[in-house]
Amino acid sequence: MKEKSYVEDINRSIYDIKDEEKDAYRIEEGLTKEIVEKLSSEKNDPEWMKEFRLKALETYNKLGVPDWGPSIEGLDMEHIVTYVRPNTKMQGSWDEVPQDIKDTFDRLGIPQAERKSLAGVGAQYDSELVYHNVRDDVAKQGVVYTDMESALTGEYADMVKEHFMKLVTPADHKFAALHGAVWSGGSFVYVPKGVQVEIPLQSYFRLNAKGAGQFEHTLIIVDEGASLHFIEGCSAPKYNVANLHAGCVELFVKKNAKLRYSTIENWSKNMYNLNTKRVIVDEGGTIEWVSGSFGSHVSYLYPMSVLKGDNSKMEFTGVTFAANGQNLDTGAKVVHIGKNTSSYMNTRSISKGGGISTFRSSVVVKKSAKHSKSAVSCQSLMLDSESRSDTIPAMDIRTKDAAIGHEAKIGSISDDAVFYLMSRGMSEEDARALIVSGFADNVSKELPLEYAVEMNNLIRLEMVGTVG
Amino acid sequence: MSLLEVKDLYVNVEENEILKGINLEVGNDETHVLMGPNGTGKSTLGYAITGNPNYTVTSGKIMFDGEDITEMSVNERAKKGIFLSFQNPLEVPGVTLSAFIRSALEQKTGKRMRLFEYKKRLSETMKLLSMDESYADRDLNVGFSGGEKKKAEILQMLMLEPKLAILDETDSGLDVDAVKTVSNGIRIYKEQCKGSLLIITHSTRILESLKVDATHVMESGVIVRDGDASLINEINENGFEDIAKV
Amino acid sequence: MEKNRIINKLPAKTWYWLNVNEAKLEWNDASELPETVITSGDESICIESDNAYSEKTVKIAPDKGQEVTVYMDYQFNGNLEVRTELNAVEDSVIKLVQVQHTKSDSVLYNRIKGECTGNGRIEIIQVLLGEGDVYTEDAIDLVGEESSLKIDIGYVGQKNQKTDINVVANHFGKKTLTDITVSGALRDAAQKTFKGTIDFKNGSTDSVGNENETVLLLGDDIVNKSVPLILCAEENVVGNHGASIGDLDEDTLFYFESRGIDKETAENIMANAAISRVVNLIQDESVRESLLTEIK
Repeated sequence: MKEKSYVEDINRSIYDIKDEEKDAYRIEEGLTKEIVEKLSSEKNDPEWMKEFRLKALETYNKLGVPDWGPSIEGLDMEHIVTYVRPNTKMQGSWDEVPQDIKDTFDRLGIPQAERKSLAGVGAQYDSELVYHNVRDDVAKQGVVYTDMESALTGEYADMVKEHFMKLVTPADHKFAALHGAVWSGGSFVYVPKGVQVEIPLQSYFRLNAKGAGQFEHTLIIVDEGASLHFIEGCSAPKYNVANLHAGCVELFVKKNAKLRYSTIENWSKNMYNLNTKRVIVDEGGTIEWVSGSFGSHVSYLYPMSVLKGDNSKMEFTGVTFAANGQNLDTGAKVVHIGKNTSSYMNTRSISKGGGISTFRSSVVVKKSAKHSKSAVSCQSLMLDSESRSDTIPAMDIRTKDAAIGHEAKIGSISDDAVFYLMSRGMSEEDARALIVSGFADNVSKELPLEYAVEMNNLIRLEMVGTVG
Repeated sequence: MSLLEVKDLYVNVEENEILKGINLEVGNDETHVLMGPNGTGKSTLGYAITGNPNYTVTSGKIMFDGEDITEMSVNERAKKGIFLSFQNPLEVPGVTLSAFIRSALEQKTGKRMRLFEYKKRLSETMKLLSMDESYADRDLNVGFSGGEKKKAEILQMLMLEPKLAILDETDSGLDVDAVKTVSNGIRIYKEQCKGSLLIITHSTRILESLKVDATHVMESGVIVRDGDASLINEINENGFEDIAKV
Repeated sequence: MEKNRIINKLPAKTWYWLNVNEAKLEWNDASELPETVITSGDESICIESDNAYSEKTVKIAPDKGQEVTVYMDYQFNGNLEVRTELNAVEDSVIKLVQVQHTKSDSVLYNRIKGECTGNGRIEIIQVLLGEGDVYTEDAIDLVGEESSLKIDIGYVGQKNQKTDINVVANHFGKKTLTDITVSGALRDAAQKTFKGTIDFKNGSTDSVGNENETVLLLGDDIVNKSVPLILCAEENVVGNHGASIGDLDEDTLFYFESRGIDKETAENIMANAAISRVVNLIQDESVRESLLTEIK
């Protein structure tokens, strides 16, 4: 065994420590053309990006808020701060990160994780990345891992311009438009042809400023025959003013390439998490999503996979835990376009203490997607009768040469299982916590050990109130 | 000329090679027994002869009635007279046993059958197998017990009158009475159709009332021993372990 | 007067681009056919009409302890709306069989609204024959403790036929039970939407809801949409849903072919099976036999 893992002594209070806000620059509240222009010039955008932002703002003003999901009435866009620049420049060395920000990430275990098991790390604090580092051996393979701002003007500027918000366009929905207008921070990753990145890259997003929004953009291109595992972690302290996260993740998996994208999301419980993630997969490529949703007040999160190339594949493994005060609307979308494409979704939802979890999905099989296969399995667990759990899947199949399966189950913890564990000397609380962890093991089995432990601690925290 | 001739047959399931050079000849009106431990490829041989598309012939060939059928589709083989009694017969809701057999017969002969004549023949055959006639109008295998499913397979065999019937573990999981009924059905098939049998089994109960012409023992995808009926007794006494060494 | 009607609403909305939240129906002023009320025994109703637009109401309300069986057959031209109201009180059972023969340019809007009180039970069998467009909605409230609902629907969609099925089972009472089974086949350019919702309301402790759909896809231009919802606000319930959509599966095809039946014949047999499965549940032998003959 390795030394005692940092995640074992995790505690909700770690996330809730608010740092004193020492931001260098904070833009006015709300959203106007002037604010977007100011943000753009503050960030030294290239001209095309400035225009892109302004156009996205127009789109934002035209689109309505969704009426089919959880209410976002508590989100007052007039008062959301869209840009908060921390009081530091981006650092390539951990020592140079300001002490207060460093302390926060230290508490969250970010540099330790890098030392142990990651190929590269990015850390975003409010609107900008404050730390970015990639291991020498990985960099030597030609892997590019940088912040989006540097990528916009650097060696890969053309590649960024070619892909930026082409997969998720601002017209997609209101919050994609918002993202287009005010995005800031995030990571750019390029894995060249044939390069296998053996250990994961990680980004960590931390939103510290009160009443602010985080709009980071993640753009990953895995070129032909290459492979990558990217891990994303999110957290924020809790304020009594709503915060907003409207990030955007665009992934491009080229021919015969493979990407695994893992997220453990633990935003504070006043966060509106309106995130958009999408991948397009070319011939023979594979996308694997692993997603744990534990935090936020309201979430709208449905990573979408476009299986464009023949023989491309997607797998989605997710768990959502909605506790008191949370309304988490999560799931996945897949569109089969190429022949012999396959998709597999396996999700678990847990509702407790008045929490609401909704599994929402869509499986679309176009006429061109001959001999495609799709299987969806979603299971929900109700831990009490104050909570709510809804399952809203949809299938739209337009070729006869397809095999589509769907199964959904909803239920509660079996008394027999609790009794069995108690008869072995376990307290009822522990027994229930253990059963819930077991229920969510579809995801924990897919995560690197440190993350699996962290996830089980989060579950235990929700179930028992302490970490054992 | 043999009815069935399997020549140096290699078969893959997905990427795994299951059969590794099988040679087997079954003559007209003969009864062959194929034995061997679980997982050695006996059922695979049955499926390969029947033509299941998931079982890929990578080399070798299968001759039936003087014709190379290696590339032939499943239903064409069936029409030529190959019948497989499934180890786990499929349940088909909405299609009655009677309607199913009738369509199979009509496909074989290419003409519509008179309902009255068909029903008469079906009910007589069911009586031979002591099957309750109500099963004719029940959905194929839906809610049938293990024994009833196997009887329904034998019923199909007697109605379709194949030249070669491959019985895949038709006796497994049956009680003593059901084994008797099934054995009786096999005996009737031999008498009425003078067909050939390839019986895949690892028990010998079903063989007691049958005259066996040849016995083959399979291990790890190859036939390790051929013999006559006496080989069965030898296996009963010594098990499979020493068979290959003799 | 012409109007656009919004019907067959999904109880919980999802993405608009899927086009499944509701159905739209153009309608016009309709002539009212005489209302039928049934409180006991076995009844057959044949709804015949040649009007451009007609509507009909059927009320089925057996007394306590009674069982009624009602066969409804639809033979009409034009556009027809049929409203059937079911009220199953304590110890009563309603068995409703609806056989729909829609002509190729006709439209049927068929609504069932039902309530089970006490331990009342409703069994609905719907056989969708014919070639016209069918919009059908079964919305049943299970209010009484131990009340139960069983719905079986069979269809074969063909040509440019549109079929929109919306089933909603609302579980209010304790120990309530729902079983929904829908089977069908789609040929040619047929379009079908099946929305099935099992809604466990708060307080519906110890209830069970099962929903199962199989669709056999046979046409090159078909559109199949399936939206099976389970909504749940109660801990001690069990909800299950299963769906299987596609062409004839390998195992079934191999079994048929091993008996000498070719793929096309096997597909025809299985398409009929989707309806026969439902027809075979009809108790009355003469109704059953005549339908089985018609299917062939």
